[in-house]
Amino acid sequence: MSVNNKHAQSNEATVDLRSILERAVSILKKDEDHGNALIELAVTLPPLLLVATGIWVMGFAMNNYLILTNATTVAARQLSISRGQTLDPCAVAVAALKAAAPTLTPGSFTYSFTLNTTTYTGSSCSSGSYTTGAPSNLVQGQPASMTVNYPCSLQAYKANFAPTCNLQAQMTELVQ
Amino acid sequence: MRSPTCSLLRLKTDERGSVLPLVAVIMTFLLGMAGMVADVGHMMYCRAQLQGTTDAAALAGAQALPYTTATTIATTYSAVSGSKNARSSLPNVTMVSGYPALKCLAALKNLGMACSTPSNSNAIQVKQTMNVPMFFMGLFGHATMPVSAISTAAMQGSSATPYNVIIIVDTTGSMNNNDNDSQCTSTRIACALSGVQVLLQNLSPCGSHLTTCGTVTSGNVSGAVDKVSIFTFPGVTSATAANDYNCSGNSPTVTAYTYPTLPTYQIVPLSSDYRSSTKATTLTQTSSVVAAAGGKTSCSGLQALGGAGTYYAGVIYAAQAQLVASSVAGTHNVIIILSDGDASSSNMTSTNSNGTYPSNVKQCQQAITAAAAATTAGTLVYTVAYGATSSGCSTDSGALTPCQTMQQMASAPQYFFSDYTASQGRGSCGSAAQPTSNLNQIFTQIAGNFTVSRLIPDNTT
Repeated sequence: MSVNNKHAQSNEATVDLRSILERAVSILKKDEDHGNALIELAVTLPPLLLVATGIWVMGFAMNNYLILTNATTVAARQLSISRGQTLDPCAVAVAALKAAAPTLTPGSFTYSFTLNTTTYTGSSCSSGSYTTGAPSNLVQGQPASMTVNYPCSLQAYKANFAPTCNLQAQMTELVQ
Repeated sequence: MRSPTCSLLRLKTDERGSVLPLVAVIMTFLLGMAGMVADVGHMMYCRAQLQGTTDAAALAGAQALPYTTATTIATTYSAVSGSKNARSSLPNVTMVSGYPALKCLAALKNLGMACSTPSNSNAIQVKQTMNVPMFFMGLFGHATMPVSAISTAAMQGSSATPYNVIIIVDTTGSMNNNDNDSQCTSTRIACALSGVQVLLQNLSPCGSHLTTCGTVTSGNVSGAVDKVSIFTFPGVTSATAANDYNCSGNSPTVTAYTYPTLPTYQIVPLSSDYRSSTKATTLTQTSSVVAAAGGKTSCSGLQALGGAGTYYAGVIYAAQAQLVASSVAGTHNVIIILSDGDASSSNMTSTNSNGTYPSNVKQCQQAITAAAAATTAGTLVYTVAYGATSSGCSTDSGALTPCQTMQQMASAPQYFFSDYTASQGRGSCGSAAQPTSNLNQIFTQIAGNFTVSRLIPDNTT
C-alpha cells in the first residue's frame, strides 16, 4: 500500500516538471500571451524597488538621527557637570558623544558649543587655566549648549541621493 | 459586439495585465509602510528629543532644591515654547498640569538628602507632553499623535563641583573624653578625626575622568576640584603647629586667644593631595591633611591638648579670611565646625566687655555673629554638634545653650548635624532636618552635599 502511494507521488512530480518546461518553451516561442506578466513585472518593479529602498534608507537615516539625538543629550549632560573638572570641557563632551554613538562615524561629526553666550566650534576648547577661556565660561546656573551635525548619508546602490542632507541635534543644559 | 459572457470568459483565460492589480495591492501596502516609517520614525525622534529636554529640565531644576525656584528653573530648561530647549523640530510641547512636581522621596532621605525648608523636597519630577504632527496618518484623521516624557532628578549624588573646605576641629581638653556610644568607642578626638577621614574619602581631589591627579606641588595638584584645610582651636604657636601632622611625637604649644595678633589656627592649608585620584579608595600617606586627620599609619594626627578653653569667633573669622584669600572664581567656600558648642573661654587676652568681637562676654553669641558674617559672604557653614549640651555658654548669661549655638551657627537648618548620643547623658541635641547621629554618616552626607543633581528612576518613592 505504502509502496503504491510513493510511486503515485513521484509520478505526479514528474508531470508537473514537464508541464512547467512546456510552458517555458511556449513562452519563448511567443505563441502564448503568458509572457506579458514578465514584461509588466519589469515595468512595475523599479517603482516598487524605489519605495522599498526609500523605506530602507529613510529607516537607516532615522536610526542615525535617534542615536545622534540621544548621544547629544548624554554629551550635553556631561558638559553640564564638567565645571571645575577639566580644562577642556568641549573635549570631554565630545568623548561622551562618541562613546554614546558607537555606530556613527566619529570623524563625521561637527560641533558647536555655546558656553554662557560665548561660542566655540570644533572638538576642543582647551584653556590654560580654570579662570580663563572655555572652563571659565562654565558658570554655575548659566546655560551651556551643544549642537552636533552629522551627514545623514541617504545612500543606496552606491549613490548618495542627498549629499547636502544634514542631521542636527542640540541640547541646552544648566551648568551644575 | 461581444457578448458579456464572452468577455468574462476572456478575463478568466487572458493573463495580460494580471500583474497590475497585484502591483496596485503591493504598492498600497508599500506606500502605507513608507508612510508608517516616516510617521513612526518622526514620532520616535520627537520622543527622543522630548525625553532629552525633560531630563535637562529635571537636572536644572534639581540643582536649585530645596528652594521653590526649582520649578521655574526646570521650566526654563524644558521644551515648552519660549524655553531654552524649545525648537522648531519639537512643536506643541506643554508641561503636564501639576509638573514640575517637587517631591520628598524616602529613598533619598535615607541617603542623607533631607527634605528641608523652604520647599521640603529633595527631588523634582518633570513631565512634558507634545502632539507630534503626522504626515501619513493625517489621511486617516490622526493629524497629531500625543507623546509624553517623564524624568526625575535628585538634588545630589552626581559628580563633585569645586569646593574649598575648611574643617575646624575642636581640640580642647574635653575632646579626650571617651565617646562610649555604639558608633565609636574611642576618644572623641579620634572619633571626630575618623569622621574627617570619611570626608576626605568622599571628596574629589581632581576631575573624575582623570585616572591620576598628577604631581603634587606644595599640597596641591593642578586642576584640583575639592580642597581641604584643617583648622583647630585653641590656637597654637606657629612654630609648633606642624607637630599636629608631622608625626614627630612632639606636641604643639597651645596659646591663649590673643588679639589683634592671632594665634595659629590653621594646621594644614587648603590641600588637594589627600587621594591620588577621585577613584582612589585609600588616603595618600604623604599628605599633611591626611596625617592631621589621623589617616596616616601609626600617627595620631591632631592632638586635643586643651588648656585655653573654647572660643569660636576668632577661628571662624580666620577661616573665612583664609577662604577669601584663596578664593577662585566658580569655587564655593565651606566651613565645617565640629565642637560641643560651649564657648566660654577664660583665656581671652581681650577684656572688652561690650560683647562684640573680640570680647570675653557673650562668646556664644559672637560665634553665631561670626558664622552669620561668613554665611552672608557666601560661605556655607556646616556645624556638627558633638555631644552639645543644653547648659553652658556661661558668658552669655543664659541667653543661649551650646546646642542652640551650634544650631544657629549653621547657614541653614539642613547644615546642622548632631551626634547627640555622645553627650554622656548630659541632654539631647538633635537635628530635625538631619536625624542621623553617626559621625561617619554625617561626614558622608556633608560630602554628598558637594555634588550635583542626578537623574533617578521615575518610580522611586
